[in-house]
Amino acid sequence: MSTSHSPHEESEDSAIVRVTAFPSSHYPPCLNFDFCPYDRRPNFVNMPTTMTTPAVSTEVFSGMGSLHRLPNELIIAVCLDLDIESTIRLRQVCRMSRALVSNMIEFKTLVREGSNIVVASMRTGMADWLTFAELYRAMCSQHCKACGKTGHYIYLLRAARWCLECLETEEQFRTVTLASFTRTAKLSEKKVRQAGVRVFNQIPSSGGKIRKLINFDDATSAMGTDPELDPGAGYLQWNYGVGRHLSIALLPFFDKTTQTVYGTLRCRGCAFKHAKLLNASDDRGSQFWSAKASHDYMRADFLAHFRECVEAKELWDSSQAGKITLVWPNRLVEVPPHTYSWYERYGQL
Amino acid sequence: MSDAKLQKILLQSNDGVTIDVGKSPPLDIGFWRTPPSLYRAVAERSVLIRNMLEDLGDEGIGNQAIPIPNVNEAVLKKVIEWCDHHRNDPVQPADEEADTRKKTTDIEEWDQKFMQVDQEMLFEVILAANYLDIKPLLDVGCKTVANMIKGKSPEEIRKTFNITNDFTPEEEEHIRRENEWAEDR
Repeated sequence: MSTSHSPHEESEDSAIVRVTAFPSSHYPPCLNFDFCPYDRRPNFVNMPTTMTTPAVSTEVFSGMGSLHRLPNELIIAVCLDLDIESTIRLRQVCRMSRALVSNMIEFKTLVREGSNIVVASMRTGMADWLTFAELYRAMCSQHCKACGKTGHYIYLLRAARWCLECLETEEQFRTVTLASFTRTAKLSEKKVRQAGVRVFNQIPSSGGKIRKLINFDDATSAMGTDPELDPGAGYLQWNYGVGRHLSIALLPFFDKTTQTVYGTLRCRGCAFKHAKLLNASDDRGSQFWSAKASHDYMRADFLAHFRECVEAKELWDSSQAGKITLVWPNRLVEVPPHTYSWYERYGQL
Repeated sequence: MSDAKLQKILLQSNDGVTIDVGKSPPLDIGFWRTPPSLYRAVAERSVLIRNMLEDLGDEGIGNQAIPIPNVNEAVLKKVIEWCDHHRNDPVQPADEEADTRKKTTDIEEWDQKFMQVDQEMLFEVILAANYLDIKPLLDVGCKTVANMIKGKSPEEIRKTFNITNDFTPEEEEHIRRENEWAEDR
């Protein structure tokens, strides 16, 4: 092996990534920290190991009753139409169904590589709507459905891949509380639910109060009303992205051919620049981890960005080309206090 | 071209019955409705039959019945009824991401009524649709079965499909823990 003389040798590219970038999952832009593959999640509910253990092949099956008339591939075709909750219930019916569901590529991949999304959808009531098939499709896709750039997030009310810029700016992601919508539109909560509007239960750990969130476009098209939005009157301030940030989760990329999962990188230089701006404007409402702080880059894209980013170059130089380990967040920039406290509470690199 | 679409096709089920609906409308459909006629456009909902017709050519078929060895008369008539109702449907694009917002288990009203049959018939129709390669009918069938599973507890699913619970007590314990996790909201 060519690297045998020095096992600690690292290529320049790897050093650049180590010093000037951080994985998107380390400063997740999702306000529901539980939805992020991140090891310091408060109140994180682990998926039981029995969800991921494969079915033993030596098991004796006593069939699936009348369903046994269908060959396995057709039973799996049925499973692809099932929502997450029902798929998990079907898996608990008998040994045969357990083996079939456990060996479904969509189920296998999601519980192994995208467990944060499965947990998020189970705990927010989205499991009644989302299917393993559409989540798997989203996980295997690469680009934001709206703009075509690299996207790293799923909006749990719409199962597809999106990028943070679109999630924060596009009209279609306006997310409001169910209570404020029913009040303004003068409709009962029951009616909205009956019309088939997806209702998202915000989980307690992410903000104390349990709110029910709905997508504004979904609600108006299902109810046929277009109430005037009054940001002051109890709607979540979607312009700041609070409602939107509550209902997204990190969506890793899954490469079907190599069967591996990979995430994206964010630029520390850009994040520092953004932190400086936050300090200057005293705009505490904006988020350190929002799209404005840094894009999400694939590794190769990040290296291209590095060559153009002045702040990242500064970081790289002050680390003396990777020889000195910078402490993050370091003293180069004063990080806004609210970010800092968040860092102290949850942060660890 | 339109002449070719109106050409009559004969099918023969595995119990030897030639379906020539022009002469004898299937009784279960009733006389007040136009009996399903096996015109080419109807038969071509099946990719299997369409390919067969293309391979044979018009002269090749003549007045001969096409044998369908995997499907019996009752099921074949049911499938033809579906094809006849949907003969003018546009061919669906293979694009899977048609509309992710649409509920996956939404079924057209006519199809819902069509699928109100006993389980045995339902499964036979699904198998026939699979054999004859009628993708939209297969989808409707799978969605109907999916709707029978949706929102039910494992015990209710067992009852619906007459499934025996073959888990060991140890496995039951695992499953109980799985539910604790899922119900923690």
